[in-house]
Amino acid sequence: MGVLLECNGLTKRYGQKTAIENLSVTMGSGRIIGLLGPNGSGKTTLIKMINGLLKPTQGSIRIDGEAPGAYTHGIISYLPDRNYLNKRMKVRQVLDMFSDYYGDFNRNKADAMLTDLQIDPEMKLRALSKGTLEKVQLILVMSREAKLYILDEPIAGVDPAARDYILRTIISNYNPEATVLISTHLISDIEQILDDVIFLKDGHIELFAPVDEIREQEGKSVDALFREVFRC
Amino acid sequence: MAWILESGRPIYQQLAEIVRHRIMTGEYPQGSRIPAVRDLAVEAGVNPNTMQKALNALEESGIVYSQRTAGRFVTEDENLIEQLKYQSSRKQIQLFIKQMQSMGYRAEEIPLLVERAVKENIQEE
Amino acid sequence: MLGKLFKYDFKEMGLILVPIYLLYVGIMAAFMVLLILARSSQIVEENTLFGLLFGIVSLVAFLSMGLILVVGSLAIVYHFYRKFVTEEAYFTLTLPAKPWEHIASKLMANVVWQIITWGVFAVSVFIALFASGMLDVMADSDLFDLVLSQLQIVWEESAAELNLTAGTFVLWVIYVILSIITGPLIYFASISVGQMAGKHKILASIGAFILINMLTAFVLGTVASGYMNLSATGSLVATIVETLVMSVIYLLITTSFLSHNLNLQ
Repeated sequence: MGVLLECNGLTKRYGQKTAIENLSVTMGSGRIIGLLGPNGSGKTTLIKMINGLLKPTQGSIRIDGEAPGAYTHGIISYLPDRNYLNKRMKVRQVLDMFSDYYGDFNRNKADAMLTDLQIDPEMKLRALSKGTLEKVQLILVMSREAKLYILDEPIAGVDPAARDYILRTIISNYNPEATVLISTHLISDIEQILDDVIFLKDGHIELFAPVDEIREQEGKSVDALFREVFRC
Repeated sequence: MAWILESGRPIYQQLAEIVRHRIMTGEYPQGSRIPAVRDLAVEAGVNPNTMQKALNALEESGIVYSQRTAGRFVTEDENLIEQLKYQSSRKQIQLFIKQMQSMGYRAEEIPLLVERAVKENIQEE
Repeated sequence: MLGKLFKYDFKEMGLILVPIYLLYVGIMAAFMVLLILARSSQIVEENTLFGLLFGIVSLVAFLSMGLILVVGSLAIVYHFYRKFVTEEAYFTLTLPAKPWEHIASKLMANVVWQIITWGVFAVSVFIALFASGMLDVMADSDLFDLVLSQLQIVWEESAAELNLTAGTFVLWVIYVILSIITGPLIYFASISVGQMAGKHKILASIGAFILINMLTAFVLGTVASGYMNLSATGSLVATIVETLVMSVIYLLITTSFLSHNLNLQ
């Protein structure tokens, strides 16, 4: 299990406000990791820095040994917490585009998932409901055979049936060479698919431990522990 | 037995219990092949590494064994499964007795209660 | 990667431009039909309603002919903005491409669409001339020959006076091509600078555009006084060098935005 992601002394400030403070963490391959924290704890800031969308104020990030850039974009499959596609395109055209841009895109897998979820590839993105659009984006992201999947709030806006489908997709897509990092605040829904959890609090890591270790030592679920740690 | 998990205990332990139960009830018959880790994980909606850990635990206790290429199989040893059933029944009975005692029944009354219940149950059917 | 980026930049600019061209063709077609009708009958004089319609359509057609030439530039600015500043930037900027590839592909798409724009414009002018009967008049009256011979005289006279050579003409062609290629860079740089503002980024971009233009004019004015007494060829070379230098500066501002100062909210 080699090192896939390494952050060292990572700090991000927006003017006076500090979003991430001196954060160091190492993640290996073959794990499904939950990035948990209340709103404003720095989850999205951290994710954006890993994806090169924000520049750290201080510290470094290495993904597969490289700083964020063209190479790391090629091995990270990233699902942002918003709609990021040109809505004038049809679903099929977006699939074509992903096939073109990403050498690791598995078109058959994407087509199969569209069929499973009964999404018509000839529909324009603009015509899809919000939930369906989120599903299409998740299909695109999970159909890549990437080394690192980063999913920012993937289940926040979808109905329970779709949520189950998404979680099953993540599990059945599991690959010992790849790591999945999922940020969410819906812990109880996702707890049983995770290997490890990271609790992010005010821009630093409060806890990074395997789920079963937490349950064994604390005698309670991660969800319950989370509520304790972040009690208002 | 369905994949229903409690929140306070390690997930892998509970998964191991469920698989063990399926072996005892013959859902996975003696000597048969157990579904692949990933399929079981998807079915249960849990992390494949956790399912792996559960099956490893069962393997350590000898209830299942793995053949390098073919996958995992339920033990051929009938005694082992019987023993498992016996242990499991002991656990259930222990629990039952404790509850009965807490309701005020004396130890010697309990077998009579069970006997009567079993009889009535048969009559109902 | 550059080829793939170009493919989608070209397509997406087409999504903006093709409907506009179709609208333009429609307006011009209506204008031609009315024009031919007006020439072949007395309807304009006889029917005030038709006369009014003809007047309005003519006005719209002339305005469109002017506007169509700037539409291409507006499209590249809008396209750049969409791809790097709106939520689509989350997709664009996580593609496995380097900043220079993004910019190069957008410049390439712009060149192709500029050429198409000029093509559409030229064809529309030609047809307008034809429909108005001017083409026949010109052909009949040897106007073409007249214009050509006049141009030749002007060229020869000024060539003698300003010391122009065929080399100057080549340089001029190079300068035009260079201007078309690097044209959008000043917009890219302006949008990039505008993004550094905390709020009102579009306003800041417009402000940056004005400021960059003023700075450029000031610097070039200062430099230009240095080669006042160069020959025509010499000052053309100087202009080309200037364009190159300014382009590199705009390029550096833009790439530095794309790779260092990016702060998507």
